Amino acid sequence: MGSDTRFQLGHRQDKPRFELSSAALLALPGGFLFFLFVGPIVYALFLGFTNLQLIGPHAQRWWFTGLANPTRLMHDTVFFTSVKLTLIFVVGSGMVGQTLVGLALALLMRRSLMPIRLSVGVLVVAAWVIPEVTAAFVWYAFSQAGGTLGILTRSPHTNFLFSAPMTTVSVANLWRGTAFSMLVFSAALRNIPSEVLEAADVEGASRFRRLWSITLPLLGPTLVTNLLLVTILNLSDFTLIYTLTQGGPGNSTMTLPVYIYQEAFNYYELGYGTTISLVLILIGAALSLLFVRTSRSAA
Amino acid sequence: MLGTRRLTSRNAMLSGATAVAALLATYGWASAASAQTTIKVGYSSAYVFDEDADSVSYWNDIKKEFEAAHPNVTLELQPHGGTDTDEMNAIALQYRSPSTTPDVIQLPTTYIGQFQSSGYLLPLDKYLSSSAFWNRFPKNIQDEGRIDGSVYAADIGENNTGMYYNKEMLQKAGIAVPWSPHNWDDILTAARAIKEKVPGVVPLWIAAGTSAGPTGVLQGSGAVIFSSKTPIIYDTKTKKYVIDSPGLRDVLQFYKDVYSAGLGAQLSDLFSPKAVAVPVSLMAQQKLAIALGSNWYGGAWKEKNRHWAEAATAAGATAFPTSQGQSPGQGGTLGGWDVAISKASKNPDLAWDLVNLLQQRKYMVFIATKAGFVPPDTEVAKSPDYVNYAPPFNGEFATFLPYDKLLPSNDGFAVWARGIEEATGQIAQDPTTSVSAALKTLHDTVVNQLGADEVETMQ
Repeated sequence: MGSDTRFQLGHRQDKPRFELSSAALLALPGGFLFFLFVGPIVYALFLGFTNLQLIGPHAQRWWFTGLANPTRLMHDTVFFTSVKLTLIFVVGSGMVGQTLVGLALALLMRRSLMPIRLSVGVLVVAAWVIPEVTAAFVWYAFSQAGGTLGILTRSPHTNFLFSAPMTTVSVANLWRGTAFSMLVFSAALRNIPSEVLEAADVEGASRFRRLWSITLPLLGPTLVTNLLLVTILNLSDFTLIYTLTQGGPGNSTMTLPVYIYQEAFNYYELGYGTTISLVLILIGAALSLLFVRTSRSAA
Repeated sequence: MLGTRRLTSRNAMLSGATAVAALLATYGWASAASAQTTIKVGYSSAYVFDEDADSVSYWNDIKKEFEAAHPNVTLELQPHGGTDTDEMNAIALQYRSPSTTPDVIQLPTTYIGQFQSSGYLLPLDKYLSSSAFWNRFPKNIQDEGRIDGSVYAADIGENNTGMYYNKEMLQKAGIAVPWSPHNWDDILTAARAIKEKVPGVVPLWIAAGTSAGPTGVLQGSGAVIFSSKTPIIYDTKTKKYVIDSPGLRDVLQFYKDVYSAGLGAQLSDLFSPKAVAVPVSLMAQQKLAIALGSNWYGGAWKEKNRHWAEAATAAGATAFPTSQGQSPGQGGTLGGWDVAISKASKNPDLAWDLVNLLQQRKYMVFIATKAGFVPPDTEVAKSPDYVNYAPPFNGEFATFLPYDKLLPSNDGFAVWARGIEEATGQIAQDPTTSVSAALKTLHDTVVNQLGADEVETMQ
């Protein structure tokens, strides 16, 4: 009976078509989505409120502990140090450092000769495509006592990972991750119509004026997207810092991902480690929302 | 069209079901046909032996001998790379499911308590009581696997602590050799004399800082604590960690004396991730006079990459004395590698046969010499194969063994170890740090992780 009407009227193309029978088909991929993405997140949310251990008395006998983990978190001094260090790392090294250096490189490369552009591009991207652990070992050797950095700064006995650990890992991360921002900005710069810039040139606008009033405003949406991606990439960065310092000396480079690892795999507190990772998710979500808001209002 | 499509999908479903059925049938047939049993053993392939090739030949020999003795049994070797912590993390993850749990595991002493309290290990008492080797283990080594009256792990090689010294450097500084300091002041006196009369060398290596994890306590500060007036880290009566005691104060004062007088090593060496091995190389390069170290140095000096041909005559070994020479006169830590059987093992008797095989003399001598252990079996420890491998050190360290104490191995130890290492690291980094400030660091770290009701001050 239903099919009769449908045959008479023919398919309507102007309205979204939905048939009840397709719900069953959609349930399969929907279920997959749920179990592969939503499921683990909900499970993690649950684990964050338990006393689960990797090994120890609560490895097999573990249970829901209510607000015990959040309460512990509120009194955990290392956690607050860790949040502060994470923000310094993400903002200083990522959002400001990588974005500014990436933008500067993209702008300079646009004006440079082909061979220079090519070789700079290859070098910067090389730092990005080598495995992170390799980049970390390069920086480990570079910043040791007797390393190149010490020789360059005429202090060959200084171990920079010890005397200025947070600065050193931040600069290492800046060095490694700049390529991403550079590529994003290079692509965006190619889309700025040259007529606009030429017109400004004809009107007698200075080079700085053209950058400030034309190029940068046109890059606005790209800038926001780039900041969002850089934040996500840097917030969860673990390999570089862990390889360089393991969070030390003391707790001086203990960012949240390293602290989560320490809780889960050195102290075997899987439940509490998960609680901290939930905070990391919250910070990431908050920053992402902020960027999405900004990009909407900008557009 | 519609009808055809439905038919096709039904066909597909049917053929899918046929395939699954066929698969099940194949699987059932396969498992019925092979009566082969598999025993899985998980071990550290990169951290126990000095050289990876020795690990390979040790385990291959064991596999060959085990399979020859048990015709329908396959021994599946599961090597784990990285450090001891990496091996433990990998195995701990396997234990989360009985289907991936190995039958036998090799584990450092400091982890036995944590695996046992997880409910993962099988008590070995009924096997051990009828075994040939167990009675030859000294009581302190037997006790490292004993929890609440049952034994859950058997040692296959011990590490303990003592001091190494460069004879020529001590003589130059006017100190008679063989040197045997009677208290901590004697050590400081010798180090000061070396600093004054033998310029350009590090007078004394004594581990500080967090870089080596619990191993840094095992091969460093733990030995000093166990030689102090209150040689207790974990109070078994109250089940609490000690975060302040007269002994701990003396230990931190000793660190202060060493580092404020410039008698210690460079911070970049102390805090290096490879800190545990640094004194071995420094001594071989004639850059270090005295080291509080571990029993395996003698064997390490026989290797190619840190070779010290004259070690046997140029270096001496002596026990680490108690703080004021009080009884028993010397102290140190004890902790090695053990083997345990999983409670989830379906073939515990076969698993035991493997554990028993690992305790045979030839394997114990091989691992003791190539990995740098004191054999737990007192007869093997006295045997020429072992003693003559790295003389005089192997023999000397075997005599220290009865005085050495075990570190705690429950789930709070990793935290306490980090706390004491942060405290010693703080003093090494800034020797003006007061003993109270260093104790506060220990207190803060342990209380922050374990809670205020898990710690105590000992008078």
